Amino acid sequence: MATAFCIDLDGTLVSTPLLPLVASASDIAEEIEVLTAATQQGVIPFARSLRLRCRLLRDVPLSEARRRVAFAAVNEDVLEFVRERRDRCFVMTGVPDCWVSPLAERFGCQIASSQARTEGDAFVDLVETLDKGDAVRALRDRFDTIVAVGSSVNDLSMFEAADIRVAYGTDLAPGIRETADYWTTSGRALCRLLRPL
Amino acid sequence: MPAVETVVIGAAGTGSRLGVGIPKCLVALDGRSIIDHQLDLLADVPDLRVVVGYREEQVVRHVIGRRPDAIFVRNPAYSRTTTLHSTLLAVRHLGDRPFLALDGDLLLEPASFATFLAECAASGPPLLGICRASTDEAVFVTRRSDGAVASFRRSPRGDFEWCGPAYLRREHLEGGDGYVYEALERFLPLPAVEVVAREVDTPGDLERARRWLHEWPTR
Repeated sequence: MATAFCIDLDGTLVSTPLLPLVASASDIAEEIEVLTAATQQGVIPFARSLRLRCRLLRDVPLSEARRRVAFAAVNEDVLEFVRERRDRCFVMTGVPDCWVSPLAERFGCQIASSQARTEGDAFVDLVETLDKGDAVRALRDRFDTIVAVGSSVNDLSMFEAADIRVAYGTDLAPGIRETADYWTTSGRALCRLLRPL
Repeated sequence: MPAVETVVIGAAGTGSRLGVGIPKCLVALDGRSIIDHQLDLLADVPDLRVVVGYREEQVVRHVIGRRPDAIFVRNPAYSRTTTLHSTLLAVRHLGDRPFLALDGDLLLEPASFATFLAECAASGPPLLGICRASTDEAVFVTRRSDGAVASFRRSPRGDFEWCGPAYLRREHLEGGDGYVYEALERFLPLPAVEVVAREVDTPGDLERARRWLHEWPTR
């Protein structure tokens, strides 16, 4: 049995928040940014906020959203770590599959995400929101130790289900730091911590 | 000669005996915090781990200004545990790699610390750093003729105290109980070299450390 690494996409593997990136193609970028910040602070429940933000972004053509997400700023140290352990690293995000698919191609790894219904070049609605805690628990029969790395409010369920919890970054959602075993603020430190686990 | 790769700074405690309301490692001497003085000396150490607890955000934000590559180990039970628990938290996933443990309230004279680091690298663990007794509530040591520490004691006072530096492996602490020196008693006698240092536990220690800082030959 081995160790699995469950790594948050939005804020850890990529440093640019993805929904505001999609929103930059719309005329409600500021509103989405405010909603995203309020969600990170725990003011709005994550699942409800995600559904709302996705609906507000329905007018952004899929092709345009994907084009912008594809160029999200990446934490290269963490990406290298993930690529070297493709069979043990699981990238997780609440952002729907239709928007993150370019990153899965770019990174060459699977990304567990929320599921969306699309029609042609349009996002229609969220079908299923990823519960990262469930995703971690689904790995239990294959791994005896599960490490979770995250910073966002929807990483809390992942932390609850994992064996070792690592808070990443300086913009942490309430509860993340308090439940973490380790706290790192750079990709180099994070990878140095994770390698021997 | 392999250099010291991993240093664990214990900076979780409340510093209740000092009573300044901020983590002891952030107490300023000569305009700079104790941990700043330490980070100067650890610039070449690739794996820096800092155990945080009391006002942890304040410590983390201070340290990442100098060392964004530091790993922070959380000890949420800082108010009811000792440095032994903090250090074990920091090294629990380190395997059998050696590490140098330092207390975050220790002011080290640079030249003597450089000599100590070189000795750690040359002789390997275990190795303790002891200093001339100066603090109010010290762990005193008795030494054998070869310089090794033969015993620890709280009283009576002696000429030397163990002020915290210890180049160890996890096995030297695991299974121990209470304080670090009590865990290390199982491995006595322990090799030791003298470092020039001052620990800051009490207001008296702090005042003496401030005066002492100006006497360093390497200033």
